[in-house]
Amino acid sequence: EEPVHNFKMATGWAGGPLSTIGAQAFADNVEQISNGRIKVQVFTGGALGNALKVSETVKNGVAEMGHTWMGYDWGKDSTTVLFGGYAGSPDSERMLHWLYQGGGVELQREFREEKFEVISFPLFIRTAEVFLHSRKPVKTLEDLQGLKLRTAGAWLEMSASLGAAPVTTPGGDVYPMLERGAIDATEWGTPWENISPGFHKVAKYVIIPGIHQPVAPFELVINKTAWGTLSDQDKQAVETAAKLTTLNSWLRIGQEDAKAMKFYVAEGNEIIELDPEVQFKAQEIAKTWAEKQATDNEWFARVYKNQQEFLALWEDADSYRKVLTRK
Amino acid sequence: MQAILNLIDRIIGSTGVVGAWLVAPLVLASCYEVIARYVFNTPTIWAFELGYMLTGANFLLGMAYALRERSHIRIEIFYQHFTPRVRAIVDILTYVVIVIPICAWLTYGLYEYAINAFLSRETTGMSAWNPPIWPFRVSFALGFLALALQALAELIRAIQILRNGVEHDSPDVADDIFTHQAETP
Amino acid sequence: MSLFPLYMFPLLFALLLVGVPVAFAMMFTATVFGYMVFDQALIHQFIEKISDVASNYVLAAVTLFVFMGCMLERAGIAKRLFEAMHLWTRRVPGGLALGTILMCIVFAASTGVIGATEVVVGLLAVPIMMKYKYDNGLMAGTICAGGSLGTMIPPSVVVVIMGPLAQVSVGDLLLGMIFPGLIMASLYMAYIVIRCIIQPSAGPVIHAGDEPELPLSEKLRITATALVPPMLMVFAVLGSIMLGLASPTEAAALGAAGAVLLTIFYGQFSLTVLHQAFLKTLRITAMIMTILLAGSMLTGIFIGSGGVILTEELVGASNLSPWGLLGVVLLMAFVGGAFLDWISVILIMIPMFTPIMVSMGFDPVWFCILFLIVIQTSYLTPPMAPAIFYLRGITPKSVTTVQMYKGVLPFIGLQVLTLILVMYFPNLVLWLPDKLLGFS
Ligand code: NA
Ligand code: NA
Repeated sequence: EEPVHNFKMATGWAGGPLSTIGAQAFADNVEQISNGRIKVQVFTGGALGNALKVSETVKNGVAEMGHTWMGYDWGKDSTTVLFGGYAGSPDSERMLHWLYQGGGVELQREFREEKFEVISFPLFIRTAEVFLHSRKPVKTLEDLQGLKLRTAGAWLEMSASLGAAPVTTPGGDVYPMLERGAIDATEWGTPWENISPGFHKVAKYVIIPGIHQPVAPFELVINKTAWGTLSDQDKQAVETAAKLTTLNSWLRIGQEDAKAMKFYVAEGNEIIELDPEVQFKAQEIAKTWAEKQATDNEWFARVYKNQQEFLALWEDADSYRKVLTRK
Repeated sequence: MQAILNLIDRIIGSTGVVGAWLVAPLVLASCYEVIARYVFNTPTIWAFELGYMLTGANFLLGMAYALRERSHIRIEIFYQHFTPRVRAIVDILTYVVIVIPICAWLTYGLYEYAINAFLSRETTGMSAWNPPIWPFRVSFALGFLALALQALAELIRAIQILRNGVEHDSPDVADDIFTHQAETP
Repeated sequence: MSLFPLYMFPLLFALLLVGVPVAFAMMFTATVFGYMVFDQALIHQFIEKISDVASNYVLAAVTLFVFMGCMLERAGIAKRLFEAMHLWTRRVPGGLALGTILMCIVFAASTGVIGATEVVVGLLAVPIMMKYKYDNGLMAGTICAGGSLGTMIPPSVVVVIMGPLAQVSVGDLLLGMIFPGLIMASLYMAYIVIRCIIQPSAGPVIHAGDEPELPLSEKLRITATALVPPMLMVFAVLGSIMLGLASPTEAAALGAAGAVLLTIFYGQFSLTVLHQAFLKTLRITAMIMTILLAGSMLTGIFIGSGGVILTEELVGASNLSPWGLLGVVLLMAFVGGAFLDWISVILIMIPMFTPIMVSMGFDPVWFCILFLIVIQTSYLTPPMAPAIFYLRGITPKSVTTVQMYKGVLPFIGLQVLTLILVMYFPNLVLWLPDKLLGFS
């Protein structure tokens, strides 16, 4: 049977897990769940439009669907950072619960439709990133002073508040700069995703956990006209496929990250866990930043409040969900 | 007619000079970043974004100037053997069918793109500097507007050639490089 | 199977042959076919492409290296440099061409952008080779092929873009390309010497009678004043990367500033000189980037109209052996590179074929380097031959474009020879990354 809907999907990805177990997995799932009525063709980053402006590509109808990280749009509205994850976000387990049980999905849909004129669902979720692949050991606040770390987006400002000397540079320059010591350290993605760029080959220390990005939910954006052509049943198929893909990505990354950490040790890297003082300091800085945003952005205030209420509900979760285990 | 041509040439000359001199702040900003980072350990928050903006604005403003100076490359396998009249016809069709309509269309779209960014107070979102993006986008629109304008001047010239059958010998860019080289002591 | 994406090539080809400027021919083809695919949304796609290309900081290196070349040339340093090199190489057949390849290796090692290497070296080499009556074809081939070494000798913008697309470490690629890059450069030099021995008029030896031999001390003095300062500047570009002072893009800015300082040092600096250098930089970079922009628009339409799916279906239907498929893929890259710019070829083919190659048991790093070598040919193969466009931009009309196309042919052959060598001896690629990479 011929597909009823042939959709193009713009992404921001050149390859890697975001592409394979994110965008492409969604395309496979939605085709299966819709009994072949919806066929999605995935395009690499930058093929259809600008890799960092996928929501624009989709809103303008260049592609019917898109897979992106909402935080890329923070220049248009800082609320996107709350959905995309930042230093003040909870871990991925809590984030998933907020999204699917705490009202996050509904807020995301309403916010994106009202402010960006696209339909949005969570699609794919990253666990905590590697904080840094570093040429110097970093454990304390003292170690961070003047550390030349490469990063992007809002964390630039926040890491400067921690005393670091953040550097902005194009993605392609990161590797040679780290190799030669023009920068001391860089962040990138989760342990699994960082194997491919090979930073572990030129920087000895792997600094964890990713306090700058404890979680990163990604999103499916859909053109409103295209969405309107779907039957209720097909809309349901899209939602179900997105949720299934998101949960599967979380499971897979968890397993692959565990293997990746063993891999780094085997490669001769030294794993360093940041002192609690650094982790708490990062959260304080993020909190200050978020509260400032909330004062002059209604949407930010609304989503922030909802997240804070959810986190208050979960504040004792570790005591009843986590059992101590001996190594 | 000649007055119009001269006016356009002067306008594009000026946008070219503005675009060309953007390389100066590009060199300065990038070198300053290296010194600030390596010597003083205080990398800037603005050098990266300023760098790509100057690079982009430089070449966009230069498109029209490059057309005026005959710097846009064409494959000359057959073109160089055409008579001046045939060449003029190719050029007229190029400007009327391709360059002027596409540039006018893009200028209009890019103008709206810049206006929308201005009205929504959009910022770049690329770094902590995060400046408003509309001035950069104005350079997009200006670049294509200037290209359309220069194409209009070239169109008029090509029509003159078609009428007279004589080509004014346009200065070849490469030749002046070459002459200069040969003269250097 | 819809062949629609392929239909845009006859139109593009026709426009190019009639003599429509390359950038405009590509924009028009993209517009016509784009309207059929995207309808009203097309303008948004083009606007995004414009913003994408205009916001690419890596491209600043193109502008900066072009400016560096223009400034060096304005200062008269070019002439001194080549005259000095000439003192040492003039007794060798094709000496100036050999010197050019050596210059290209040095510049290639300090820049990752092909246009930059070629323009810098070309501005230095063209006038002097013409003065000594080198064969126009040999001159064009030497500069085009040598200039494109910029991507084959690290650092290289191409592998930096290729690595993530192939999910391969950029570090492995940068090291893996060293031997193939040096082999390619050596083949160029061997060819130049052999050709000029067989056909002395192609690269005339300057006889002792024409130019009396200077005493060694005089030679050294001239070399010190002419050769050493610019070489120091080149090494400053390379060194600032190697010593960890600067990113490759920033190193270009240091080089540009160094070129200005050198003109001051040589007493050639004035505001007029600076102004002229800025204007020429603008002409060259605007030409390069407009083609890049138009190519990016055209690629978007090719991909958006189903070009990738079509290619995959064609491969799937072919039922080839692993080596057969590898050959077909490289051939497709070769043909693709004749019509599209390198970014388009990589953007379309690498994500599509690397997983297939890996599943057939080939090493992805090795495959990427083979692909990179084919990308080298794309600079030289008509009709879309950026290396020739750059050369056209800096060469007087007396050297015809046809002479250029003919002149690069032997060098394309040498690139294919390098490709075959690397195919037969994968360790040329794989040995070095294995030995060298690591932290200390
Ligand atoms: Na290079
Ligand atoms: Na080519």
